[in-house]
Amino acid sequence: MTEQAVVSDTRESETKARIAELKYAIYLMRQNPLVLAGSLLVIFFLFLALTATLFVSPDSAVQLDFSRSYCWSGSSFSWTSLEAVCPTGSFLPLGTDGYGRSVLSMIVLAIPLDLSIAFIIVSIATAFGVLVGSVAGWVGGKFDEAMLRITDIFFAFPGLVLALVFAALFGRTIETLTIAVLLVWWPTYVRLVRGQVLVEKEKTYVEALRALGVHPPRIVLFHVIPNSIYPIIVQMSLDIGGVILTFSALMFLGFSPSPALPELGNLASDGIGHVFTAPWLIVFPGLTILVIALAFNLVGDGLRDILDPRLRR
Amino acid sequence: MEVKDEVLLETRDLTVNFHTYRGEVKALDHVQLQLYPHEVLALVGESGCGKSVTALTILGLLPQNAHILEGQVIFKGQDLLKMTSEQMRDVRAEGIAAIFQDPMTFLNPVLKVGVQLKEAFLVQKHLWSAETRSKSATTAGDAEIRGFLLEKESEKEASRHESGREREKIAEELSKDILKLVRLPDPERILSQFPHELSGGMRQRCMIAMALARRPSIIVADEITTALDVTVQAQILTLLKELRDTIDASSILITHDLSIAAETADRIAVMYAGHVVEVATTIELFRNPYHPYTQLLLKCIPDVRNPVTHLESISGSVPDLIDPPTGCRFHPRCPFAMEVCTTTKPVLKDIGNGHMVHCHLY
Amino acid sequence: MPDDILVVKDLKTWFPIKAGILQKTVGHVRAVDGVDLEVKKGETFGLVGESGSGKTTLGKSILRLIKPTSGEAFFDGINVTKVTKKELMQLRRRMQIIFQDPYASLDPRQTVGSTLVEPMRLHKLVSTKSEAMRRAKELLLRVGLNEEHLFRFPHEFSGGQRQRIAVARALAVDPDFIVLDEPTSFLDVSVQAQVLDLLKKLQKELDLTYVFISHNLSVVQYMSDRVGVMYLGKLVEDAERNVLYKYPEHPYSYFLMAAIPVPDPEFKKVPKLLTGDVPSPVNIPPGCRFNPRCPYSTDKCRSGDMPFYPGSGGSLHRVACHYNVDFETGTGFLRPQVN
Repeated sequence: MTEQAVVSDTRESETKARIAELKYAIYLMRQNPLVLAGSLLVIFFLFLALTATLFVSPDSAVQLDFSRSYCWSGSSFSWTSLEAVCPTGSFLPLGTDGYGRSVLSMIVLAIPLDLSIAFIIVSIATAFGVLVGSVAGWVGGKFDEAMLRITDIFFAFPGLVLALVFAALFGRTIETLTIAVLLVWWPTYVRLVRGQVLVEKEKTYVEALRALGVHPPRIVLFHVIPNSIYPIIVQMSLDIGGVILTFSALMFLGFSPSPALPELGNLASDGIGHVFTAPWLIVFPGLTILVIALAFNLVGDGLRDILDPRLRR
Repeated sequence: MEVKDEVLLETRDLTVNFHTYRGEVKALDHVQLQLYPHEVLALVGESGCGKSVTALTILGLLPQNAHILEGQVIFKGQDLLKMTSEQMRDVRAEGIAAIFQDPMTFLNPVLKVGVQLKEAFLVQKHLWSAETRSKSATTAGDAEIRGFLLEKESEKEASRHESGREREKIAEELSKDILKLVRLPDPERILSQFPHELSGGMRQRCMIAMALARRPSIIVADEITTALDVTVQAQILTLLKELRDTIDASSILITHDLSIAAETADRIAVMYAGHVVEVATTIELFRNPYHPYTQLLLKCIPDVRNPVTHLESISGSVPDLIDPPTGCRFHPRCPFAMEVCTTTKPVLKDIGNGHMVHCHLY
Repeated sequence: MPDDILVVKDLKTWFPIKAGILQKTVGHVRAVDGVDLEVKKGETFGLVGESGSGKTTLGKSILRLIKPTSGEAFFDGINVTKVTKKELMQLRRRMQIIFQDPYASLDPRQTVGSTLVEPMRLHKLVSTKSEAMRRAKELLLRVGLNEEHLFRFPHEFSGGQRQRIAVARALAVDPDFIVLDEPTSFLDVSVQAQVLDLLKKLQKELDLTYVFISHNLSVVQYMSDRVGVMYLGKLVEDAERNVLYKYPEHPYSYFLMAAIPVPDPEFKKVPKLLTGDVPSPVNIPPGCRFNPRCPYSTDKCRSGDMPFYPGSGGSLHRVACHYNVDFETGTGFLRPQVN
């Protein structure tokens, strides 16, 4: 058999395997409509994050028009009696914020920012967790003990407090705030990966690999970690929602680098001072955070069902 | 076995499918079984043959994705498959008891053995109601236990309303007696222990005790010795044989090991891929196996008394029940397969002496 | 002896039991507690025993998969217990193992082909990818599988097929010696027959030496040339297969043989049942380990060392029992003292 034929056979079988996995995933989706809804929403938000600038020009974040600040279009319904009405002719379905910018446009611009920060934080936390956690789990001993204690210390602090302290100490740029939230999340991944490695370490196939003379680093990298990846993926998708919440909360509490930054928490923060005069300013950004977090949570749950080998078939 | 005793339990045309994402698993296909009083019927077969599924169907414990397409399970004149889950629970509490393979997962690990055993007594409504004259104490073993239970029965008849505490005490006494019945030494101590504090053999005896506590007419034992060491297995099998003689209950013994069936069972039903292929008394089955699968299976087993240099095996492998072979499900592996075997399902043939085969050869 | 490929000397593998907040060692599980044995090249040595006997731990200690606590194991003259990590790696090529659970011994995310090629590459037995694939294909055919199975994942196979893959993997490094740890206990009877025959065939073709561990006495009898019975971490009897099965001399061996179910309902079995349960290797009784359950034990059995006495079944037969018991009558006499 030629090399090409061998390679193409592999691809064919792999494709068959992947198709079988997909069929199972679809079957589970049909069983659980909420997960399906969550997945569609996530796809929608991801799409929006990638194409936001096509719909809304980034300049609209800096085009301030104080003549129409905190106004509501008034066409469909009215929130309170105290609200201002926007000048006619302008397309402002969700009202405006304090700078006169369309709340809808600001939300659309905020989504890529929030999502990309969330993805960055989760990715770095995962990478770090895999690196440190796998060593701790496999080697054990003093390194493992040290890691357990360190992560314990981090867990002892309520997440938000930790982030706040860091932000307060190191200033308020997007970078420092990202690091602040990262500090809250990394220990979870170290523990998670460590736990998985501990479990896999005892399994027979690992013993078989040792019996074949395979070196431990290779066993961990090419066998243990790929087999541990499922719970990590689940955790990652669940955390996207959580990270967005934490990050927005920081902004909401006033740690934003700039008051005009189009970020969901920041927008809501502006709204808190105007609850009775412009309630849409807190409702819509807040709802967006809620829906994104919910969507990722549902997807995470669904992924857990699909990927957990114990619940399979 | 010319005289047909009244059948205790019968399954007729039992057909069960399982819904899975890959398709419908046709697990049971017109399974026909009869269980007579005072006997041990062994249900023997390899993995996927449907013996456990049959047991679960009789017990009403099938998982959600199972569909009973047709068939009946007749017990005491009623079709168990038509019962509600409450009615089935009552049947399981007092008519048909089950013992499973792994006592560690079957027993609640956080409750003491005594609590669980007493519960088996406390749930039996008929024990506590003064009206019902429960099954007479002849269902117990030793004469002493029999006498004791008779005593208790009359006591109970006297007082209509037992207080909770009195019931507990009576249940405790009954528990100790039943532990003696399964030959566990020091029942008092065992009652106060947790399942993990006991050894595998002792746990299995506790399970048997819990099953017997219900004074069942039928005991379904699913691979109860598979997880046990061979010396302990020998003890449990001997116990089962003893109990068959002293207790008025029949057993369905499910096992993949024909040697165990040879030792313990009165009759054997051989199953393959969801079908019953042959039923006969134990001696008859080993002397004259008719079905090709039975014959081949017997040749596969290494016999300690006759060491051989080469074991026969059955070519091929157990079929995928999502797409089982047409006609007789064994035909792809059968050395005697004929044209008709690939198209039509074989019909039951009665060879005489209670020996029945599902095969076109006869 | 010169043609012994494996020599085990007083091997002990103890596992510490830790308790308390400070995790102090309060005792040991003496899984293997002093075993001596020799295995000749090309033969199959069967190791039987129940749970707690230490047979699996012994098998893994010989391979140094579990680190022995003391004692030595010599493979082809090389002291396995004392070699360096690098030398161990080379030994791993020559000494392999097949595990009990075919559903757990293969990496679920690796294709069969990759599973077979990895050890070949590691031990530098092949140099190009095509050579590796070719060899992998040959291995699969040798164990009765097909070329197309190279590209499938373990979960697509049945238990029997997975065991065959495990055998192919062990053969991939061209070993001389294989420990078979209950290789068929998870398999159906008909599949078991196929796998056992395959193992026998391969042994002849490739001149392999096996240590066959099992609690299934019928299977051990079918596979082995010599058999050793283990109880609570020690060998209590070891002899040529026919000798042990027909004329066991240690009471435990006798009860073990008597407990085997026989596929013949008309066979009148002598009702010889062992009382009590299989003990755990944490609290080992003094003297002969079997004495608490032995119906023939005397005071002599309850203290002191237990040496190996020669048995009546030839020069290879040895028994760890002070008495020569006639099991039919229950009488016995003291064996002559050995040094």
